[in-house]
Amino acid sequence: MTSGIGCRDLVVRAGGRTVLDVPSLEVVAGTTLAVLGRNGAGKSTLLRALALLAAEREGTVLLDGTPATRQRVRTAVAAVLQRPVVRRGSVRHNVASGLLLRGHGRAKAHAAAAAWMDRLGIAHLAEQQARSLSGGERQRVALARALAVRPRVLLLDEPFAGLDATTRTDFVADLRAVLDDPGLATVLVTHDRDEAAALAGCTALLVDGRLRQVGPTSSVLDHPADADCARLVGFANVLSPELTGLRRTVVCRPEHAVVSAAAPTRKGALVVAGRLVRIVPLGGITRVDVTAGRDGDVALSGLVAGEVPAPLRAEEPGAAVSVSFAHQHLRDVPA
Amino acid sequence: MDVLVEGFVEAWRLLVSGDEGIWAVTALTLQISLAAAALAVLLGVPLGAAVALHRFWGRRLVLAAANTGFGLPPVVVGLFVTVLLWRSGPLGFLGLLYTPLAMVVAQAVIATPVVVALAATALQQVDPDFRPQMEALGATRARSFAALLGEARLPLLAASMAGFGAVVSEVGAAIMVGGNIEGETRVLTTAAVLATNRGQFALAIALGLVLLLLAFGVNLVLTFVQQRESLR
Amino acid sequence: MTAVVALALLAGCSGQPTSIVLATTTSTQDSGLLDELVPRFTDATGIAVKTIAVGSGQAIELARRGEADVVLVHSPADEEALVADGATGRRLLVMHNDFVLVGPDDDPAGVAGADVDDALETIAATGSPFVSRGDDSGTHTKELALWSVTGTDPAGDWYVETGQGMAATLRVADERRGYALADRATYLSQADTLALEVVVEGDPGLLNVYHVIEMTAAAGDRVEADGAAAFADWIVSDPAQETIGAFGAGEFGRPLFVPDAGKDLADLTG
Repeated sequence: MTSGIGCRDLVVRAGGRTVLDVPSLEVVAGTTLAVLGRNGAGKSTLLRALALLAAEREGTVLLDGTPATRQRVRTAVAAVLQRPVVRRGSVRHNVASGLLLRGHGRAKAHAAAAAWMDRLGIAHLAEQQARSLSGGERQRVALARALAVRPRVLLLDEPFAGLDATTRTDFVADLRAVLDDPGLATVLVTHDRDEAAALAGCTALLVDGRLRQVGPTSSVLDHPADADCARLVGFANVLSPELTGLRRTVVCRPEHAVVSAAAPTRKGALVVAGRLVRIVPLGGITRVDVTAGRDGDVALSGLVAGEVPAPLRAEEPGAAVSVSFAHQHLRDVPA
Repeated sequence: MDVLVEGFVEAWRLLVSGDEGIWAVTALTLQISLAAAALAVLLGVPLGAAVALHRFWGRRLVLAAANTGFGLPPVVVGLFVTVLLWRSGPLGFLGLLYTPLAMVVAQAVIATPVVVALAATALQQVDPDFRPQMEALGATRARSFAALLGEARLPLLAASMAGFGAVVSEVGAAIMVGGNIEGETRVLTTAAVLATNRGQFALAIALGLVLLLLAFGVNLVLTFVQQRESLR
Repeated sequence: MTAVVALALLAGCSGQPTSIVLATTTSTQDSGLLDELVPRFTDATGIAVKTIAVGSGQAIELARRGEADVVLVHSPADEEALVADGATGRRLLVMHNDFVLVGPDDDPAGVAGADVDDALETIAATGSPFVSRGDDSGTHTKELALWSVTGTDPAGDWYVETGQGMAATLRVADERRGYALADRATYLSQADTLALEVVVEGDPGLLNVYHVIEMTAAAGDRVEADGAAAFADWIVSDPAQETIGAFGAGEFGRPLFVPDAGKDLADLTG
């Protein structure tokens, strides 16, 4: 019997539509699983279902390998929902409230709260009203509140949503240290592959309520199982056999796609002809959008550091361009 | 004008001298209206919570009824309750008509819609994820509900006080269901009506002032608590 | 929790062993007579009384439905109709006072000292304001009976119905500089705050007679017939009659009611 959380044949319906269908999933103690998906893919639904919060739920949530009851989940699991719901009252009261809600005494709750406020760097805010805090501080309060109950399973829904880059970097580092706890199984729901890479040993890709790919994060991020997974992990260029003449669909990240005005001369690269759509400066890097294909319905893009080269810069939208993809950066996916 | 001046003088005299009659009536008024408001809160908060937190058949009906009940004339409630409590009525066997308990029941009927509507609004103001988040931290359903009530305690307090305010100042149901019996069911409002009928205007004004002070006191407490809480 | 405790307390304080419902008119309550009588009755018999002071019409209707155990009213025609229903016990003469026609002190219709019939006809003819209870009370019934004797239909701009008690109606009459029919007791208790004077009094047609009527179980299963009988017995007894005869003497210089127990109605009108 493995310690941790998982599910079997977990199905959630809403309004007659299946919004989640996960035949099997397992996250063992000491590991973190990132669930990567777009908005509306069913990430939050999965998280709530694992916490036994989703209403119309079929199938089984497994806790330590056996079907979870509400009672067992209450003691073992803590979840932090997407918007950090802080309660009226001080930060100290908020962080202690998880234990208080579980019926623990005030002294124990406040002692645990103090330790976790320290660890997450919010001790100096202890006496402040939680509702007056910034988004990042609230996220830390919500996380400390969940960790203070010493859960064996931690469920996190987009803990970094809406945080500015610096706040987020610091918070990711602090969270990383917390998640290394060998007794803790963590499910981290996110739409950002960098967070998955930074925090999770394993990653699952959720598309339209179904898990398309589960595996070690590095492998999932570098070897997507299909075109949808590829787009999800950043292989924005999906090249069908029609376009390339190859036997399989191949995908490539924009950072490995080079758009040029001249005919390509590079060896060892796949070259696709297209028309320029626009050049988008992103500050430090520049994205070039191109359409390709017989009907011009395949969107491609390339990223370059700094500005695009002069010949391309002079081109008007609609001009003929070529996009080349180095072979070592191409990945095969099933059509 | 003389009557007003005389009324204020008399009111002052009655209040300062601690006239037994007026304090007894005031105490009874408080007892009845507080009990009615408490009953309305016990019924109204769960009902308001059900309306606010759940989608169920008849939910809109309850909300519409509560909002209608807001403007329900107390005298109409009094009439219904009276007919129900008549000896020949369906609840006549209880022998409740013309008792303080009957007044509590009638006033609770008046106050409940007020509490339901305001409690529903109060609870809808709280983040819809509040309860799921509390349960996600390990709270039982009962504890998460209690936490929700705690979170909305100020608007809920306001709802309760609005319920109390609706009944302490009403006369229609009180006089019909209670009968304005001295020492038993005579409250400030019905006593004021009687005093007016008797031409005892000074006494009527004194009673009115006591009622006013009561309402003022209740609002003072509410404002005080709200101010203190919102500063925290 | 607090509500439960409060309810228990409230239930406790209404749980007298015996209690009867007395339906009576606002005039007896507004004059203060009941405040004198009821505690004495309770002292003498141990029976608590819930006094419901309403118009005579409603008082009699409550009795008819068995919602009241005993009535003390002054609306002879309605009383006789109630007795005719057969659910009543005894109907006993208790006391009387008299009605007076009151009007503005300058008497714009010039009816002072006239017979009541002539006075009403003149008021109607001159269109002087007349303020009526309009509430099916004994006083209202009496007023309508007086109008029907004159053959005048009381209707028009000059005729105002308040739908309120005697004191409130007098106040309206005062504000409108109009005439009104009032029982003397209520009028006297209010006189010092009103600019209304008695313009017609002493007419045999203005007699205001109060009867007590005890109800029986025939009106309803829960009627306290024994308590009702005890009240009727007591209010015609000597101590009660003495209280009635003395009531108001101190405050108004003359008693407001004349005790009549044991007398014959014909002796009063005759």
